[in-house]
Amino acid sequence: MDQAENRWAEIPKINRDLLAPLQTVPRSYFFLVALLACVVAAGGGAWLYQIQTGIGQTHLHPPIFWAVYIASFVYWIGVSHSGTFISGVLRLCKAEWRYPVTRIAELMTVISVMIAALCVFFHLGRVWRWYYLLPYPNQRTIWPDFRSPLMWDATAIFTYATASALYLYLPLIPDFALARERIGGWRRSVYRILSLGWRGTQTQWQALETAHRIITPLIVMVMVSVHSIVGWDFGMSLVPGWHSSIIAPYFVVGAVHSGLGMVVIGMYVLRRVYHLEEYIRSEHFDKMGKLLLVTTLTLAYLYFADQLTVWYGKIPDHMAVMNAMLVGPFAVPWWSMVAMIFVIPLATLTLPSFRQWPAGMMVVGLLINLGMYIERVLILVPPLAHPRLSYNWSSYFPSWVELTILLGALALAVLLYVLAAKFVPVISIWEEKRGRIHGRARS
Amino acid sequence: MAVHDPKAHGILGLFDPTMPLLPVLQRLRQAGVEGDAVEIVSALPMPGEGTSKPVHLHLYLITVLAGLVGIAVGIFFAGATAAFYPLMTGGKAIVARPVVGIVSYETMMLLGIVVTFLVMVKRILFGYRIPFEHEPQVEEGLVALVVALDRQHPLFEVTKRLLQDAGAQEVRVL
Repeated sequence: MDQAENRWAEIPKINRDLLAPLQTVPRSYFFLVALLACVVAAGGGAWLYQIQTGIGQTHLHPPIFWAVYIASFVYWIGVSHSGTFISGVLRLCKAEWRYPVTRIAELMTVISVMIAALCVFFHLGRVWRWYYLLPYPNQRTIWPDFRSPLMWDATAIFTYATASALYLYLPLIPDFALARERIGGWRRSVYRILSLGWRGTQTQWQALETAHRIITPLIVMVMVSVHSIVGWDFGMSLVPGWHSSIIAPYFVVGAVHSGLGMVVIGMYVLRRVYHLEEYIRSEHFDKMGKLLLVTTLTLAYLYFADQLTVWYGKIPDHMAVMNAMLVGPFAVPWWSMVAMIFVIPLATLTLPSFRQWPAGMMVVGLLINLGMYIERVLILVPPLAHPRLSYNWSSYFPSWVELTILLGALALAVLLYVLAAKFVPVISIWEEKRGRIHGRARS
Repeated sequence: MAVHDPKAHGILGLFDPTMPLLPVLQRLRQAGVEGDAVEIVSALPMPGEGTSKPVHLHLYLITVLAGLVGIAVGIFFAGATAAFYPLMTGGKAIVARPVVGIVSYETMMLLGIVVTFLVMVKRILFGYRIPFEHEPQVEEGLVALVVALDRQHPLFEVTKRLLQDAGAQEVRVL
């Protein structure tokens, strides 16, 4: 057999290997699901308690009206940039090594957007009045104020959530068709519906590819706009520390940074759990490491440029916020954040051998995400804790209700991913085949 | 092979994926089989011209039109409703043009993406004119060439023989 025939001969094995995670359910899986469900239930209980007894159960107080719920919202929206960046931007760049990691990232995107939206509801004092946000004729003689960046946010996130769900679904259609024929039980009928009668005719392939080609640049543009608008939620206000013209690109790059870090964690865990070493190889970690290096440097540059301008201007209100972070009450989290999102990634990801070490990359991914979460909290709390009139300066630490709800949200994200991994192939099967057949995935 | 099936409405030939199909398609055309009656089924999109049917529906144009409708929707919400329900805020225009631009951008993207997706779904649902069952060997890498022909059609036997001569691993009557 020549090389081309050899490649085609791999197809049955790829089908078997990549559908295997959907066909086997070990006992440890049920244990994990039960454990996560318990944590989610605890979070749900804390939220119910907060709804019943009022938003006073949080440690929000004047002048700190936004804190960990909004920080979590910003963080999860950031994580959601993983799928769009990896699948969208790398597709536009024709980076073919992306095939084994696109689905992992796209799943993360959809789940992260859902959790981010949930965080907004945690923050609503009277959550049962959420529909006041919707623009529809009513007798209250009030109307959503579209001049508010929060309304831009609602519009952008609705667009992004819809678009990323469709973007996840598009390349899943051929894989659902494959699963339809090989997986029985209740899932077969669901696969049958979701595969849209896919047979693999060239007309169908052409429709899928054309739609993918059109939607990819659009969703990349939406990705940039969404986190820009999240940044403008802050940047449009005159709060010292927020009112910055580079806050939008800073937010976008930070989002991609945490998103890539989360994908590395996902790659490591799924590779270990489902024995996908042959598909998610050290070269993929290496490539992700290079991308993380780029985002680390870009983020550091933007952060430095922003802080330098503040430092040089020496405006007292702005300096109060900066000093609170550099040498004040927020110094420990600030320096930890700097170490986790800038120093450690720079020190490790510049080493080629480190980038090819999956466990090490996973640890860096974890640190980046922890650091980015702290960074999101630091964007919110120090500026709000230091308003212009110093008699009103304050501090903040989340209450047990806030922490329990957010832990529940994190558990919900993991639970949804764990459940999705039993329904959706975590590696795009047809794209993996395509990468192998055309001989570029391994080059 | 169900050669004598009276309900037969097509012939399926299974080919090695490394085999070029264009010559087979040309021979079918020369034999008188219409292009619309031939369908290629594969586990991966087949590269190259000639293997797919001409596109009658220009998806790009539909996306652009949907995007324009999306802009109108955005202008309606962020501009028109702001004018209908004026919220007086000091120093701010009732209808703020940058805001209308931002909201319209998002609604343009939303409609562009959703409509493109819906049109694609329609094309996938009706993406084969020859009703044939799922072919497991295609999933394993073989390429199927399906020709829609009635058993009584004069080209039926000719096509069968042509597919066999072209090197099909298996020829089956559907």
